[in-house]
Amino acid sequence: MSDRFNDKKGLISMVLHAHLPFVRHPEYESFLEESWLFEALSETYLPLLRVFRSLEKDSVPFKMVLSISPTLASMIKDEFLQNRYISHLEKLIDLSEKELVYTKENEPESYKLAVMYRDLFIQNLKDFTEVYERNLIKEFVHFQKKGNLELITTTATHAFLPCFREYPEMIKAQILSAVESHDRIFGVMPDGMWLPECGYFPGLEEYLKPFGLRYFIASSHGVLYADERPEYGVYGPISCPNGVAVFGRDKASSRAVWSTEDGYPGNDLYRDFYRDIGFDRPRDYIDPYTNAGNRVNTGFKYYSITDKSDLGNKDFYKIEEAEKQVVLDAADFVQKRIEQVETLSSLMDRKPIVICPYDAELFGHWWFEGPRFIEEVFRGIAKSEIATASPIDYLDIYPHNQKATPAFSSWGDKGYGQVWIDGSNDWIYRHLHKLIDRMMELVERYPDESGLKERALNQAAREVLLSQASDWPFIMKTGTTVPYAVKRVKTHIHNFNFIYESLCRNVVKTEWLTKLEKHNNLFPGINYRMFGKDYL
Amino acid sequence: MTKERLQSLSYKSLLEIAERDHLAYDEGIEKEVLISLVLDSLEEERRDREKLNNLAVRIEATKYNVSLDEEFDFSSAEEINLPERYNETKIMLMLREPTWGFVYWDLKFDVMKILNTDSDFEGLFLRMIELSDRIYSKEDILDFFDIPVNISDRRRYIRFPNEDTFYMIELYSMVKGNEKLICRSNIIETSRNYILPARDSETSNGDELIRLSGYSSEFGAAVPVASYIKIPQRILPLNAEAVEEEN
Repeated sequence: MSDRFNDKKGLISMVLHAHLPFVRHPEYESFLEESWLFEALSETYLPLLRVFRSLEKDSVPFKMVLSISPTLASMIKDEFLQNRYISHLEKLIDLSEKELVYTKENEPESYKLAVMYRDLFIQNLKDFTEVYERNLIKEFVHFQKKGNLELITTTATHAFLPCFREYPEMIKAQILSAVESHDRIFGVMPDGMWLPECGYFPGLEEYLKPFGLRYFIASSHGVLYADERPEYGVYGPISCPNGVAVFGRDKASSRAVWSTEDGYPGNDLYRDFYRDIGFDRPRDYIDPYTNAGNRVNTGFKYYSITDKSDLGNKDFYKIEEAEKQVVLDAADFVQKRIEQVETLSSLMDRKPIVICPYDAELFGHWWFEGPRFIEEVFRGIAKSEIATASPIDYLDIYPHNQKATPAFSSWGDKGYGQVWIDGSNDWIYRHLHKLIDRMMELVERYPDESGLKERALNQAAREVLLSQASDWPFIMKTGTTVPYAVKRVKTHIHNFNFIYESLCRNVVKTEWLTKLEKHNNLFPGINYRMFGKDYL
Repeated sequence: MTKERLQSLSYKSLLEIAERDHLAYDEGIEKEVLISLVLDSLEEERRDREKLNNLAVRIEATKYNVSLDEEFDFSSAEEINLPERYNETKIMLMLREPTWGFVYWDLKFDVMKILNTDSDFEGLFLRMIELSDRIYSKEDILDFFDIPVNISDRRRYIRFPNEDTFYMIELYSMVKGNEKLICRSNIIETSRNYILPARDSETSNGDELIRLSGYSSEFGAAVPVASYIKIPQRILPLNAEAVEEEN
């Protein structure tokens, strides 16, 4: 057994899951929901890459697992969305120039912040167009090749798999499309799978192993409630009967970031997410930067959290104070992990591994100082007796682990499927399940089509996958942009049914199909036959 | 939602929202009063939603948060109508959590027609069956109970009496006092909601490691350990309090 962490007492695995649903609307001049991607690029992905470069420059050793969903990776690579992102940044830079004048005259407390935002947007544009030449994927791959990142995948469109456990062909199709997409985009097969929302049900591992996927991460109670009591709790993996390893989420480090009471991002000094000049500035001033006249978030946020209950009663954000606080918080996080590992290693006959998984967009988008926190955590850990590592690193040291099957679980509210099966969204499953039945029927009827029919069948398969994104029922449950989520699910169901009926009548409208292919253009290598019973 | 956004909507659109949200208002209500009414209702709705969702869900929701203004969809002309039924007789049982499931069902058009026109038809009911195995046989039935449903019903949430066992649902019609099986669902296995007891051979530190795995107040996790100490084999069912901790 080789242990390159010989001098370390334990390992910390920072796992970020980056995902956004596929949103691409060339049929509109601008589209509000496309800003989900633009905001995440500006506030999370580009700042994270800057963190990696900064650590690289200072030769700080670090290792992080980054799960990038196939839908997000497809959008990052998409030329049309890249152009729109550049226009979005140019508009923000234009607004920032206006803000410099406005704040100098009317709100001097915000002037310095307006300068910061202008510089940030200019830097984002420069990084995106000149430094990375629009190719962020290449930069992620660079850090993977250097051994700093372990890039893993998730299901093709982020389907919450426990809702489809009666449909093995669909689960297989979601995983196959994801692995194929990951290989095509990142040039390497993934070793791990991020289960969307950590949604696991016993037996799911059987779908992972055939694709070379060696591990996944489960909620802590998923591991603790396994069919064998886990001997190391969540501080060592368990191994499913087929050998796929399961790493349990550590509750302490999760709570440090998520908790409303004592979580770091809730500190009054940090920047407030909700108050935005999009809602503060006069209508005629902000209108050119809004969407069809609707007030929207612009990204210019000048206030600190201060009063959590009243948007109108907040102090101005002070960059230097927030910077001091983030250094303190990162140091506290590292110190707690050191103490945790110290205690755990005295109880275990091997090194403990502490798994810290988070939504990537939490860092930067919601918690503005989050990327700096990550940087400081890596710098702190590098100087300590613990090390950052990936689950694969751990399996290299300890390939044999206790056999056990986790319990049904998720990391969602209340721990199971309550978010995705709810009175607000349960109507979708009748249709989504029917689509799978019909897709399987199509494969049986047309096992070996080519030309136009094959294109139609492949597009039908895309529509089935797109309809299954966990984002849509999530949004219906949480109440943000519900009409869009409903429309998206309905549109994919409708598109599929239209193709299904066209094929039944043996009439495929070429123009309509071509338009749809150009619109929903992800998974170029899709093969509709994957929905067949005997495929692979 | 901002007042400004509501002010930008037409009086007709505001009435439409009020109708949709079942708000009571007097005929001829003034636009400003109507705006206040709608604003209060939306704010109440938002607060209720926030109460229902934990912090992790609320933060994840910010990924999709582009505006304080709620999106309204008045585009009835563009409305996509999905098939209401697929002319199939089917029942599907889905596991939602260890003690609750969601079931949906449907009947073929001709089956519906027969039932609707049969003067001896007395009603439909669901039979929830607990099984000792994942494969159905009459010998494996441990227990069952019936739930009457209306002919227009097509979905329902059902509480499972036991964890860590198997369930299936059958849809029956009652005709002239006789039960008639219409269809049978898939079988699901309900989940464990507790930690299994230790085996003798396990490390003596196992209990401590389980406790440190999230049920202690050390290193920042502040979950009460009382229930673990009292009932070692059945710790912390994921109630609302524990759930907040989990995330």
